Amino acid sequence: MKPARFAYTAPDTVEGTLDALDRFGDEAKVLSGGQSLVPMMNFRLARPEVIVDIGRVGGLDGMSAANGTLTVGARVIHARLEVPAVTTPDGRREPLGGVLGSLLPEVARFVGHLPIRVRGTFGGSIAHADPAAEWCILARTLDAEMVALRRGGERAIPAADFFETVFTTALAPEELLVAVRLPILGDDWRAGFCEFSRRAGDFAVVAGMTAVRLEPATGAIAEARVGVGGVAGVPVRLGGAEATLVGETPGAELHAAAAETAAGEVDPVGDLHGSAAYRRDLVRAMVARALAQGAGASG
Amino acid sequence: MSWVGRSIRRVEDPALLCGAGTFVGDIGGAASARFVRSPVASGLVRAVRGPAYTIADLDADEVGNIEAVLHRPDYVRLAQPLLARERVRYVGEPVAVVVGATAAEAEDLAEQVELDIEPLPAAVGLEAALAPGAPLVHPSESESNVMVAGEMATPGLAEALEGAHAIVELEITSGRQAALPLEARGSHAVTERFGGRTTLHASIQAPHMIRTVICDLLGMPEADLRVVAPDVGGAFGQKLPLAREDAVVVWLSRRLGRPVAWIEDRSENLMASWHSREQRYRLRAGFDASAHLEALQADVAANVGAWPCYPITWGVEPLMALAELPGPYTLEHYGVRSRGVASHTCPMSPYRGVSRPVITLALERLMDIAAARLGVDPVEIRRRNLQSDFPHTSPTGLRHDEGTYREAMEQAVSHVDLGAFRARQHAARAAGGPQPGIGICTFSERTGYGTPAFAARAMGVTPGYENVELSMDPSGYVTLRIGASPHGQGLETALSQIVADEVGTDPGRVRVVASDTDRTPYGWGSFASRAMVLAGGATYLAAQKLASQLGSLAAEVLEAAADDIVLADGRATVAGTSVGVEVAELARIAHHHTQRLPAGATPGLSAQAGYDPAGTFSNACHVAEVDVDPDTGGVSMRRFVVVEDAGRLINPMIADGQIRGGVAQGIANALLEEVVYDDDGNILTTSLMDYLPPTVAEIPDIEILHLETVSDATVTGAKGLGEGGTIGAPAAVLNAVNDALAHLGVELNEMPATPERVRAAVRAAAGRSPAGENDRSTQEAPVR
Amino acid sequence: MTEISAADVAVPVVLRVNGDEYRITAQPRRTLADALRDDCGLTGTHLGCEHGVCGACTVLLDGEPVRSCLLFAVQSQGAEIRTVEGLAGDDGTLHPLQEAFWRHHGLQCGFCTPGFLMLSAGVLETRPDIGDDELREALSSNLCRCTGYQTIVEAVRSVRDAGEA
Repeated sequence: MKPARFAYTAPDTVEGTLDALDRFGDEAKVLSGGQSLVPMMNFRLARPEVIVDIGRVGGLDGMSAANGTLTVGARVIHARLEVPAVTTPDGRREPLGGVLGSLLPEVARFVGHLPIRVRGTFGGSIAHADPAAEWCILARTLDAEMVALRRGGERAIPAADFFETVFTTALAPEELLVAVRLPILGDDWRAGFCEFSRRAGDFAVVAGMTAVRLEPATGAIAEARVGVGGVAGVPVRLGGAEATLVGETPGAELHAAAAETAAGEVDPVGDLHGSAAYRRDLVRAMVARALAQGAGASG
Repeated sequence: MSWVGRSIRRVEDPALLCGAGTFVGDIGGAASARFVRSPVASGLVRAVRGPAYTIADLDADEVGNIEAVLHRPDYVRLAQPLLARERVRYVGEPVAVVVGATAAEAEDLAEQVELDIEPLPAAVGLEAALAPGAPLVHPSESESNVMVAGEMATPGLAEALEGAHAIVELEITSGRQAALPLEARGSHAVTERFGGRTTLHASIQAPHMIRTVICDLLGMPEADLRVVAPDVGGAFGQKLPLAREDAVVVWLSRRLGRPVAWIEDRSENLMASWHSREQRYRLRAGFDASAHLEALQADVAANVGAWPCYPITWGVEPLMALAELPGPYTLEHYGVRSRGVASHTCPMSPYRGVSRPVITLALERLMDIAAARLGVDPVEIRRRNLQSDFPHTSPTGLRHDEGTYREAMEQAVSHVDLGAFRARQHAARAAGGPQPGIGICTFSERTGYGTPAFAARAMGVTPGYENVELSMDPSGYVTLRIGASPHGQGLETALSQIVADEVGTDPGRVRVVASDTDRTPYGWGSFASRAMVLAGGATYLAAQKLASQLGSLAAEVLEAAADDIVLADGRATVAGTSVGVEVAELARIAHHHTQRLPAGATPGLSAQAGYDPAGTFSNACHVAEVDVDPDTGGVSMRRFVVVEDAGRLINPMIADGQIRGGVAQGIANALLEEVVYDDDGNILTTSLMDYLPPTVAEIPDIEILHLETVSDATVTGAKGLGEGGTIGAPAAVLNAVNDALAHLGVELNEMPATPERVRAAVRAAAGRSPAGENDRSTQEAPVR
Repeated sequence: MTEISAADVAVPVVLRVNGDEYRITAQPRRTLADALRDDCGLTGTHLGCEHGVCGACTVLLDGEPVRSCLLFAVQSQGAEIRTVEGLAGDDGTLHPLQEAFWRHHGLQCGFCTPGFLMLSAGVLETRPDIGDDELREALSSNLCRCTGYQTIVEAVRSVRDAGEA
């Protein structure tokens, strides 16, 4: 279990990185925290010709909030999202409050184990695109935008287009994921995340995330997002469950109905860790619990 | 003051704590061997191309085949080559070997080796291998895949079943498990340039036995091979049999004239080291009206994989099941057929408890199901059936010495406060959400058995006795050389306590030498919960001899009667007086002033002893409390209680460590770990993300209470306990899971009880019973 | 253009381990774990799975516990690395965690022990007031096959309670 040979470069700037990616194209693989890539290399399931290590690149580990958007630098380690803090325009660091400020730690604690969380990065997880990875589910559920740079260009890729299939994204070989933009949910949002894994720290068999916006006047659900991972090659949004929720008032019955719709609309593929039927059952349970958790979190 | 019975700190620990242990992979300075393994479950080897050694090279050197033999008419005898010859029989079977400068380079080389294998149909798993017309694993040697088949019945069985008040039928299955020592296997061989002697360091449990078999295979005198088990990072049975790879490494080092090491990686370990416990039991049990188990008929089958293991053979699991299934109960009528079935899967070796975790699961599920059927409490049905007159002879002729089966159970039940639990359970059933369950398991653990027990198995090799050599040097320090081969159990510490008491010294003045064929007397090793009983017994006997020598010498020096000499605290004293002499002074005299020895005495201070008992039974009761989530099938361990009777405890701290570690492996067996193959025989669980040993989050604190029935079956009064934790835990956990979901009509008799299986059982119960769970409902979890 | 290290050439790498500087040469693919063991001779760091699950290879990198099988030696230059060999004092005095593991019987075969010690050291040094639940969660990072974990938890808890790490 030793990696195959590879050439190695560790640029210290974004420009240098983009040059390297441009030069090596699909022979290259970006190494960030390495907590997903290196195991695959040790198994020789991944055999990049060239490793472009961005561990020395500055400027990719910021978190900032502006105009209703939280921008998370690609090199922000998971552990920092356990106690999310943002840098304000005038350079101060302050804790991220609000719904997202509560949600991110709730999700982060499911990401691997402590040694993984202090080394692995948010952007690395997104770019690795494991369909059961917590951050991928979050990005898809909240319609995040991935900011990709290439030599001479930048584009923002919506989550719906970004995740293509297992371990495959819309990033071109010469592109570098530099940041992810998440919408800062207002106080009228209720969000929850629930995951079922076999052991502490394992990848989810199924994880579900929900976010609903309530009409302040009526308390009815004005907007709903339901995302699950572990049922397809990419994290998916469940339109049927979202439709079940919209216009209704949160409560155990509604949550059960939405969970039932969710279980009905997924089309999981079974594997070692769960058959299709079992994953469907887990979708029902995880969606119901995420909704209940969100409702409970509001107090 | 006695050292025995005290939880002194382990002498083994300081080096390990400082990273100064020496495991095989730490030796270094050797080229790396890497095995090229079969990618298919069954096939004919057409050609091997590339920079590799194959069976042709071994044949050219006249290397022999492994023959693991049971002298039984129903046993299929095979000759197993060290690398696959003509045919491959499981994914991971070694076909060729390459040697590179580093592990990475060896892996590069292995990738260049091309295996031309014509795939053949494979029989994967028990049912497939037993099916009519199944592909045969050894078509030239056997017309079926049944490789060993034992059968017996006591007279009157059929009548007893016919006349029974109630018949309970039950099928239980156990998934394939891997022992998974945290250090995988490995070996490191150096051959001296002049003289040609080879030293093998290997991560193994029985160095003397391994030396013998490797020398047999390579045609070497045993004097030309030194085998050392350095620090061994866990074994649990997986490192007891001969690893083909270890023999090949010795051959390579001799052939190439350079040091060669093979350090197994985790993927290989999961794929191609030994597996265990893939078994199925079909039970038919007859109970009388007062819930007494009168008759038991069993059909047992074990998937023993593609090859037998040396020297234990592939009889070990099925034949142990045959002999020990009656367990701790006073059963009179018993009949059994037990078969070892070959299939195109990784071979099987003993793993902590061997068949006993599954035997116990079968019996303890039987007791719970019968209790429910007959309207008796689970505790009460056991109370009525457990042995209480000793010695008790089982229907298969096993003699159970005195134990505390009932007492252990009563104490466990009172410790957990069953009444309070039931109240909590009642409330939880009304409230929905996670459901608490409790499970009881009572069992016996056959330990410390010597030659007679092994001889009854009719193995080609009969392990049994242990030998030790004990000597005191002129400074009064003691060296104990043992044939057993401890690897983390703390045996050195425990033995030093026994020696210290007998010769009146401090354990810190006793050095234990083990696991090196050059420096220790021939012995069998550490396995089968035997080392404390056997090596401990031999140590006790040798220490008594040494004490007697010291006593005679002290009597001479002090001009007293030898019977009046007391050895304690480093002094030999005349009883009732303050007249005495330092043991160290006696040691000096015995070596340097032999003119002062009694006439005819041998100079020096040394003794040897062997010990070979018939065996004894430890017993225990385990109680597990779980929470089961009916929506996800997830099971959380809430509490685990053990009441253990392993006779006299030499070092209670070490004993508790064995119990806790064993229970953790048993919980893993019950809930998490399973080796999975697809229908073509590809193994799907080759990483620790797919094969799931538990973390601390899955293992609760384990409360341990002791009974100490000092055994007269062993010289120290100690019984073994290395396997008990693993034996009892699965049944306790499965009974608890079933108890948690009993109100839904769930019955789950398959382990591991994975969340998916638990969930499927909940669904199946709901489907059977309209009064069962409404499957469309979803309970809300409490908010965190 | 940033320098590229070729795949099959061993390049000079400087590792700072337990305060000492090790000048080694290593191919880019050499993991930190292999470099520590084979190039620096620090074999106390063990390899149990080489895919980041078991934690036997845990070392401290700039004070945080990391899996050294998931890092390449070339990546680790410039960092302060600590291994189990650096825990005890130069005079052989055991670190409080080593003492506690010994006293509480937190090890049997000892193979996972260096990883658990470094994990615990990293956790207690950066989070000295860690609560029981969080400590258990942190210790779930590593695997032990012998002890059943309880005595490991007790050992680490005792050091936390004494404020000794």
